[in-house]
Amino acid sequence: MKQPEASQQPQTLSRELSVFLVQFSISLHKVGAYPANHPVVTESVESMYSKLVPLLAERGLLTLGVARNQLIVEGTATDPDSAVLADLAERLHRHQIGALRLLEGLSGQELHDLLTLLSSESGRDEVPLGLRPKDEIDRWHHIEVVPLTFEELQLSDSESDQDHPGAGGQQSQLWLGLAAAAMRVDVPEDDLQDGPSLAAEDIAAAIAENRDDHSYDRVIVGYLSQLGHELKLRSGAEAKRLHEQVTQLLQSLDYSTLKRLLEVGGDRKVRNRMLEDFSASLPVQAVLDLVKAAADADEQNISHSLIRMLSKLADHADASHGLIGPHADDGFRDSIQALLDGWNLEDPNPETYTEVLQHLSLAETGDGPGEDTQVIDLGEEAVRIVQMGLELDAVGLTVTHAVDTMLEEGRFTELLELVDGAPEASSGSAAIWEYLASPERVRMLLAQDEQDIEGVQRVLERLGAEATEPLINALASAKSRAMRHRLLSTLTALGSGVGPIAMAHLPEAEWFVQRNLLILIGSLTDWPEGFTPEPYAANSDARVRREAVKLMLQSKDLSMRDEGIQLGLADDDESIVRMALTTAINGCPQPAQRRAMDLMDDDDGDIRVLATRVVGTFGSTRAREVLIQRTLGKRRWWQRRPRLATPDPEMLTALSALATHWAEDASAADILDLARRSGNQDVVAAVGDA
Amino acid sequence: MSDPIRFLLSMGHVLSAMSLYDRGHPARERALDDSFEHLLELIGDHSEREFTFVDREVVFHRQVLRDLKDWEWAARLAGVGIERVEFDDAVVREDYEEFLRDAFHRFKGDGFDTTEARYMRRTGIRYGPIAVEQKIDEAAELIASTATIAYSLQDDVETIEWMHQQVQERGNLPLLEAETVVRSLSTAMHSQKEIILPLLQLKEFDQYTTTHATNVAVLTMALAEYVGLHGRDVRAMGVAGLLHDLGKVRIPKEILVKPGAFTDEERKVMQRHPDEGARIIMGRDVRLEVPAIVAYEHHIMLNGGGYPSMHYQRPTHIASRLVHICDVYDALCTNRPYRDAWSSEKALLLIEEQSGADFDPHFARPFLAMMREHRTQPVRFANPVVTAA
Repeated sequence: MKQPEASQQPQTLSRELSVFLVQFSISLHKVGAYPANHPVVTESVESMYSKLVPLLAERGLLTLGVARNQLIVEGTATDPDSAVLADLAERLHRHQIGALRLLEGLSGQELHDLLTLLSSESGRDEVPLGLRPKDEIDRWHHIEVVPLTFEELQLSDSESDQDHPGAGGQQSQLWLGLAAAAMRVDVPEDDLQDGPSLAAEDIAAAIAENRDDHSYDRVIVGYLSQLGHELKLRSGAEAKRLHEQVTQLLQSLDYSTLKRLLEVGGDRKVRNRMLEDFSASLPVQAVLDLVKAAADADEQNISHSLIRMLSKLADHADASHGLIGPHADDGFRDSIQALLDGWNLEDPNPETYTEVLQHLSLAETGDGPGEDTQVIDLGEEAVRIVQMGLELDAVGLTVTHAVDTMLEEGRFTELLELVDGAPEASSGSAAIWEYLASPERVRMLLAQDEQDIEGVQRVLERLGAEATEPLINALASAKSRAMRHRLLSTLTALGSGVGPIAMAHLPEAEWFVQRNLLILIGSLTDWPEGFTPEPYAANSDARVRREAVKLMLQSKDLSMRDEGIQLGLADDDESIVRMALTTAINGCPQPAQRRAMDLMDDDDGDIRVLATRVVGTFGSTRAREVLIQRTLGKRRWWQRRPRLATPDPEMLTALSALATHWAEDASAADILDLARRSGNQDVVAAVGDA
Repeated sequence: MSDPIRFLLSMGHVLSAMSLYDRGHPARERALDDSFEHLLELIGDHSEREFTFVDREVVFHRQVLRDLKDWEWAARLAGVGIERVEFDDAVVREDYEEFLRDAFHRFKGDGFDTTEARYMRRTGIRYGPIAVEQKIDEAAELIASTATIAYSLQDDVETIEWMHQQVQERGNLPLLEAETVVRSLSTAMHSQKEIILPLLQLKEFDQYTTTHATNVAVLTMALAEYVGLHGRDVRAMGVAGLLHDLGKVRIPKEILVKPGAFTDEERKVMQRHPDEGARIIMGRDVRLEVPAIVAYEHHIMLNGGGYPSMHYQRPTHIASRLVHICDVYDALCTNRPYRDAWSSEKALLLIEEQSGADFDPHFARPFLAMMREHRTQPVRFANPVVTAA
């Protein structure tokens, strides 16, 4: 027999119950596999017991309904595809147990006894627990075993089994399970001599009498829910008979009992699922009664007018001949479905708007082609709806839905044109702008493949600093350099408010984002509090180091600036070195001077010139010697007097430095004199009037 | 100059004045007074006072007024569906002015305004197009009215009334109820092998809104189905038809039921109902785009005439065009203070004539075919139960 799909289950069990049931199954196996006092058994039973005690303390009573390969616990059926839980259900079912009731106060010994009995496989030699004498079944104070009798299954129509080979009468078993669970409470013992009565009226009476046991109600609703699901899926003689039984049961339940069951027998999801299942299968009058009771239980308001209309359709569905009946029946069931859909939805408001849309889009795409396929594409009308909203000054959910549709369709520019062209007196454009200007919106717009940057820019102007976060994220993912440049410009324009957010993103960002964020921070009037670029000056990527060193060099804090010069001069990236040298011309810290002198011999000519200029500012004897050395050419053995080197940029720079800082120095004066008399215009110009 | 000619010339003078002067302008009022005087003289002197305008000829009772051959207003009146005007003894100046204002609005292309139900009083002027009497059709309609089904629309009618009340008093549009009414009307339509159209007949003028909403929903669903829409689309159209005049709940009752002609200001207020209807519906649910659009556009003609005037120029939605036809048809076939209900065939002829100008031919043609093919099922409003034959 095909089982209900797991995805159709209305909800999952609580974690505690699931863990307990799994442990129950495991313990049952271990008790069956090991000798009675084996430590494995003891440990397993203790573990199960420790999980059961808090459950009972919380509830007082835990009832496990059994439906062949599923357990029904507190209105929820376990997943038949779960091997462990299905195995537990099947074991209990083989023992012909309809339900197990575990009461608070249950002892470890009682649990051990139960497991021992259940662990023995029922078969030719072992009598199933459910068929054993009553005194044996009732041996525990805190465990009640509700037997499942199969006598009534004799009535099962063979046609059903032929129609559904392998069905195994599950629908009938569910009914028996329901009967067993329902009749166990407050039913005189005589009635149970041959198993529970299966008459719908008797079951209804038993349910009505049991007023104060929520756990009981949950089990009953669990069975009803399963029955509803089965009826929806099945056809054939067995289903037909069950259909009649369930109908009779529901019609036998008085209104207050029905309401009670729906109030306490499960949460809204369980109720609505059951109603949906029943609304597809049961007679319309029974459905109407159920819906009324559920509305009361859920404090949902159904107007008198709607009840009238539904009743009328129900009357015609039941009584009319010809074509009216089926049409009225369809109309009734569709209306009930729409009503239940409405209950499932929270009130549509801006916060839950997305959920509503999701629901609607699912509803619209879920039918496939056929009678209920909606062929008018309302998406095409998004523009019209926006136009109407602006003309009527009525920007609500319908209009914002249309706005979203336009955005999803990439019609942002068209939308802005509509808003820009709104009637002068309309406040609709302001309302739409308010809806558009959100960080989420910026995020969405920036995530589109073809970004309308001008449109985004307009949203950003309205959004201000709130746009920082999505912009920085967009910066991280922007593929084109032009886009990054635009984003950076936009972020910069937002002002110092972006600093802290940029700083927070720095540590974990990709290298190119780090670089951009450093640029961004550098463009701000003030750095964010606590920010230091130093860690990034040691980054493995030269492009990040460059921006970090640049920030250090620009720092108003002199010690940071000096630190930046030292790091910059020591870097192996030429552009960083050049940047540091340029800054050092205005003052090179002592620890960096040696490195600056070394750089006078660098392979790169520009660096050598810059380094020479820096060294020229030192004022030390060593610096003077180095500079003099740079100005002189090699002396031949026959030459008694020094001669100037061939002029080049470094030599000229060194001369200039000597003229500026050592004009009065005797050793430098000779060189300067030589230079003045050299006849070379560049050389003469370098020493100037010194 | 005989009385009829003198009167008609004066009437033409008033119509000219209306195009030049606003209401209340002395020149216009004077022209109206003079013309009304001529009308009273005509009524005093003649027991039969019907004018027929056909093919640029003017016929007074059975006499062709040859002096008025090529009189420009004859062709213009006929062109806007006023081919016959009949005056009875009880006509008053207010009736006359209202008739002329209606004609003038039609000249301007404002179309057939289905909103004005000057409910409480009959006027002394009846006017409209003419058609060859089709006794066979009328007999067929009579036969159809007896071959009926057992399906009551009482609950539907009262639910619609309740819905209007909810919107009016609480600003709450009960969508589920509207959808269920549409399902019920659809059930009534499909109660036999062939589609039948259970159209309510107005008994009391103050039931117009409910009757009209119901009928437009039925006609709209039928036409939608006829042109090939299915299932949910048809029902969406039905809801749009049902709610098309919803904005009237925000029109002050004293204007809605005013016995007599509207002032310009009152007319403006009345013509706000499409705006109001759209606002109500748009505030309710994102699923109601089509009903909102239809509520807003159902008085706009194919050629752009009608109201409201739209800031963004655009063609109307197909659902609006579809409902517009059904709206006009039902209005014409309903008893109005100033005329009896037109026969179905007469209304269809007008729709045929105006197809391409007022009505979208893509829907007008199927509508004509559908109405001539399907049986309509007249249902009395006071006891809207269709009983088995």
